[in-house]
Amino acid sequence: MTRSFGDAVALDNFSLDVWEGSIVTLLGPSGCGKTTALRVIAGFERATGTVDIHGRTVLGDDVFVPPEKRRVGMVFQDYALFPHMTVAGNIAYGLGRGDHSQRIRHVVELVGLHGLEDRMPHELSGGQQQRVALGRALAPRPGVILLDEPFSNLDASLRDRVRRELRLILTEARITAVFVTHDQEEALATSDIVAVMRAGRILQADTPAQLYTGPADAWIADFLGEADVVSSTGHRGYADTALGRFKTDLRGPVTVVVRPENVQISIGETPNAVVAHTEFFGHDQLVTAVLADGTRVRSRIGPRPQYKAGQNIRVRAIDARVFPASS
Amino acid sequence: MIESPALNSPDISHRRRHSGTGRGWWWAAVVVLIPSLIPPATLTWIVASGGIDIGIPAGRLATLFVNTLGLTIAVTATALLIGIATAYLTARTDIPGRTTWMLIAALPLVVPSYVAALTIIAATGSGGVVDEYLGWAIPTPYGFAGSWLALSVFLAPMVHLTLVPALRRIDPSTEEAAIGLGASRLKTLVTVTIPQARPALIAAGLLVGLYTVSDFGAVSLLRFDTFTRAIYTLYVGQIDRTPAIALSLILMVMAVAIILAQRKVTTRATYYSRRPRAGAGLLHLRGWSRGAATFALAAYSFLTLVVPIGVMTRWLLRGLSVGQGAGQFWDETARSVGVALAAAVVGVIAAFPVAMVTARIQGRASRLVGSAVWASYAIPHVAVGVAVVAFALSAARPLYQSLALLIATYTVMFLAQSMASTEDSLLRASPDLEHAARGLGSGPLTTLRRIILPLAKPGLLAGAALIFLSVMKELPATLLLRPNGFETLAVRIWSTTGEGFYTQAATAGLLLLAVSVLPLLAVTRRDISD
Repeated sequence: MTRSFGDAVALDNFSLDVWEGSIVTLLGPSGCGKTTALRVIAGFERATGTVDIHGRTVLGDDVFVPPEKRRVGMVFQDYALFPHMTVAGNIAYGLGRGDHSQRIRHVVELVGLHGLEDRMPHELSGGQQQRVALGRALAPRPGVILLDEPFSNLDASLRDRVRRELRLILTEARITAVFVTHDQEEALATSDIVAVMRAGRILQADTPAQLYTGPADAWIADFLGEADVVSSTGHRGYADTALGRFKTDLRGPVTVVVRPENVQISIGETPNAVVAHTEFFGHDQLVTAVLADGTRVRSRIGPRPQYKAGQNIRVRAIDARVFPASS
Repeated sequence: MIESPALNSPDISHRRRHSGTGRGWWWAAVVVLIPSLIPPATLTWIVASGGIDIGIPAGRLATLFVNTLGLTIAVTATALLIGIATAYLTARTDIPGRTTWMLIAALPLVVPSYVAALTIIAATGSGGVVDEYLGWAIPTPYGFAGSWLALSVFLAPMVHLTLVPALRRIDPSTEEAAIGLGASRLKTLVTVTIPQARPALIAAGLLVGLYTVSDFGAVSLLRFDTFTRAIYTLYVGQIDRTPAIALSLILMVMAVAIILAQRKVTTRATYYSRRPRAGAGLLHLRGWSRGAATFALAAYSFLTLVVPIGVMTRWLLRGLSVGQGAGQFWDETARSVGVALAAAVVGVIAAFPVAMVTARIQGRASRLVGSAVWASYAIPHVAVGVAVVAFALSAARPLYQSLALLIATYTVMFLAQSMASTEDSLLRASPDLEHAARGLGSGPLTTLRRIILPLAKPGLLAGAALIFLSVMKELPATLLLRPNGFETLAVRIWSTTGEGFYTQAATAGLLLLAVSVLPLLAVTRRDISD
């Protein structure tokens, strides 16, 4: 499956391949064009370029397949359930004429709405509405399913559970899915591939683990989780910093990005930092330290030992990424 | 959706253009709008081709201006005072029977201005109902006083209906804060509550002003020389119709200016008041203020509902007791209901594509469509009538005095009513519902039938009810355009009152109210419960 479009407005030479049966997430800050990309795939919006779905061109030069002929399922951010139809009516909508009771029953089971078939959308909780929206999109067996911020209208307490369920349902249905979200954790937890977007472009598309541990630049590193930055200079294959020596082929000014979980603290050695403050979370704690040159570095460590503000410590990074300084 | 980049970019029209609301709706809307252009175009063309001399002495013109303007200002001020009182008492205090009063205070809208005038004329004077019961013949207040009374009392519900939703959306904690800071209730009302409802208040005032400028029924029966009355007498009484057409053009310009101002305020008003819905926080009325408030509402309802019905019933009974025929009005009723139903059906169908454009497409062109429809709504009916007759006589002779032309004219005049209510329904339904249907395999027509129309149904029905009511009440255009001998209830009430046959007028008036009250109740309840 190949999709590429270049659009002057929201998508700038956007290009992405999605493997059949995989779950891909478009991740980016507000206004990066990820929703536009989804709407172009669904056909609610046009763009220059091409969109192929399972080898069939639905958008291209002189080709525009209308949305109803694309076999694309869409789950909208606000669900867009038909308020004048029951749960079963919503799910049956895309199935056309004829008797589809078996398919409806199957979808209702799949999304766990058994017993709620005759309810109206406004009688359902947010999580249930979300599952109706998913069931409605899955029922006609679309070639690909698109989900626009599907969890953003759910309570934080509900979100994790629904996310796990959704992932299971999609895997079970063996369907290609494209998510859109601005929530990093959600993207990393749900997807096979995450495509990080900014200003209409895809900056990096990779597996969640690869993306987190090997971000292509400092912006992605920072966007995908906690990261601190120290400046250094590349010289003879290394960059030396207060946090340690890191391998790099770069020469000249560089930026070294470290994640708090890779920063270790020790006492008793020659101190190189002072504890500014600590935040305690139970399963771990976040210690913010200030280096001699004023740079702040965070360390995420276990709940013990306890550090006090003003305490002299030694910090060291066991892993870091080195980028050219301009980024 | 808020994070969607397209929504924040000026390119929003692009987004909408390809999202199912296509060119088809545009074309349909444009076709619907063409007839709306005929009245203003005809008036302008005739006046422009006739030269500057409009054949009316400057002194007469000055009198008409002063009278029309004076009446408009007086009626607007009075209706605002009454409407603020009824809206405030029923929306912001815990007066007993609050919601019932809220509905009752809206009901006088069903009374057309010529029925109000009939009530005044039939109640006063020697032999009037007041004379009969109190033995005291109040002289009939012809001229300014009567017109002012009839219009302000019966237009106040417009203020009431506009203000109630606005007042309900005001956060009561702002009033509590004022009282907590030591302000009296009256001071709180004047300095905190009313200023928050100001856009709605201005909108309501302009609407009342528009209706007063346009009113024909009350001023013609109560013989107050304003533009509308002058246009009608000049048009019917003279061979040269240029003066009437020239006056119509002036009146049209005044009315369109008012409605455009009103629209500007209204759009701002809805934006202004979109705040979290306040739950409780009703002002507690105690002791004498409770009694006084209840009395005021009761007195207003008595004056606007009991008095007209009572006076008309009394005349009906009087006529029956002396063996005078009450008049057979079944034909008139059937005609009124028939044209009103026809216009309602045509109007709802015609308004739909226009509402699709104004509700689903953003941008200057779409706003212009909305303004054009509202402008046609504002043109005083007497001016529309004069223009359409002139148009038919010169360009569409076979249509002259035809039922089709009458119904088409009603549709043009009242299109805004069904457009607004349909638009309201459409705006409540997210365009994503249409996208969802398209994504599930429905083509544009199936989406229309299975999604859009069911969702728009409440708005379509309300629009039909509103047009029905308006056509039932409509007088001047009907007088000018009806086929020969096509007497409706409105026409009969007006002509029999003018001739002094109050028994007949009262019978027709009661019939008109009876037919109108159900659709009005349906519409008002919906407005108020929102």
